Amino acid sequence: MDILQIVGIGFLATVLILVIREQKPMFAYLLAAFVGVGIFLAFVGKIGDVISVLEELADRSGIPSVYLKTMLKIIGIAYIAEFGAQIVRDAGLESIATKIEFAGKMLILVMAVPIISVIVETVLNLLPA
Amino acid sequence: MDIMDGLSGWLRQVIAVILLASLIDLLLPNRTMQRYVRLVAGLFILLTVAGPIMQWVKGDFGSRLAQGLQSVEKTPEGASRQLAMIEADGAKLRESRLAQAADLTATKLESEIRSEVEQAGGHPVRRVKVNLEKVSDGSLAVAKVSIELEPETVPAGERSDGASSGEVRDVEAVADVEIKVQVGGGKAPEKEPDGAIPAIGGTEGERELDGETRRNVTALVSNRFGLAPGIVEVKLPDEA
Repeated sequence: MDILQIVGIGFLATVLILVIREQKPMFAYLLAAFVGVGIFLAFVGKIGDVISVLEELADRSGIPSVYLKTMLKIIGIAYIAEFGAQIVRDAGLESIATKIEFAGKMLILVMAVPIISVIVETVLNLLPA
Repeated sequence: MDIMDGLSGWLRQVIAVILLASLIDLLLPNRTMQRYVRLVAGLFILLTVAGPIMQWVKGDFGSRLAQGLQSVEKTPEGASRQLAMIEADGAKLRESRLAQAADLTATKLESEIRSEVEQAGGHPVRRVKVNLEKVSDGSLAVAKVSIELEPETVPAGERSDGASSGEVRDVEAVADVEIKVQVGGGKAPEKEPDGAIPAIGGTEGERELDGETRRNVTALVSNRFGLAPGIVEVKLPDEA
């Protein structure tokens, strides 16, 4: 049922945007952005169910909570960067969208730095001096 | 049994992390971030697989990893500089608040001393000045209180009644004489010292009374407000 509503809103918004775009391209862009934000906000809460399953899995298997937190942060960064980049891309500014994606990638890589450093230190300690 | 328990726990962890990584791979919005997310997920799987070895080599790798990840999340660029700036602003605000509080205290104390001296001591006060100073532990203490008394018009008139009435009469006489002086001018220098001599006598007489007033006011203020008598300074109208 939810998916029908979303598809309906999407079709409606698309038709409206196609009509408006000829007269007022600015309003067409704004409408596209707001519809996108609305759908995103309406369904971003559903991801909470998935996250609760993941947390339970992590709890029962005894993996450190830092792993799960970091992975969830990575997912969050990926979603937000992608969302922002798509809105900017809709406005036709491909270069800025690419920069936003680049920032997201960098932030994800920064998350990996402590893991890499721990692994490298351990490997160095394993080797005889 | 211990080895078996440890082994089963390790296997469970490995499976859970791999499941987690695959779920996160599924949750990704598109393929642009996929390589990066896979790298991080792969590192986590590597950490979990190599966990027992790492624990054997370095006992506290888990806590160090957690510390590193938290520091990555919580320290934005220039955080220390911003913190120093915020702390400096806070110190400035604190000092200005203290200065305001000191001003308020001094004003309040001044008005209370004034009303106390005027009501209990019966001396009209022209001005009260309270100086506050910071003592070694950072709090404020009263360093000096200076009270300037108003010239007491009515009692002074009563006290030096004879002298002042004599002066008035003299002045009247001078006024009379002045008409003659305009003609002759010989008596004017004689009258001026006559007028000045009773005035000197009057101040000498008043000084003893003033000393008493000074002592009274000092004792009153130091007793009522718990101040050392040494820091209370009473100025009399003549000195002012």
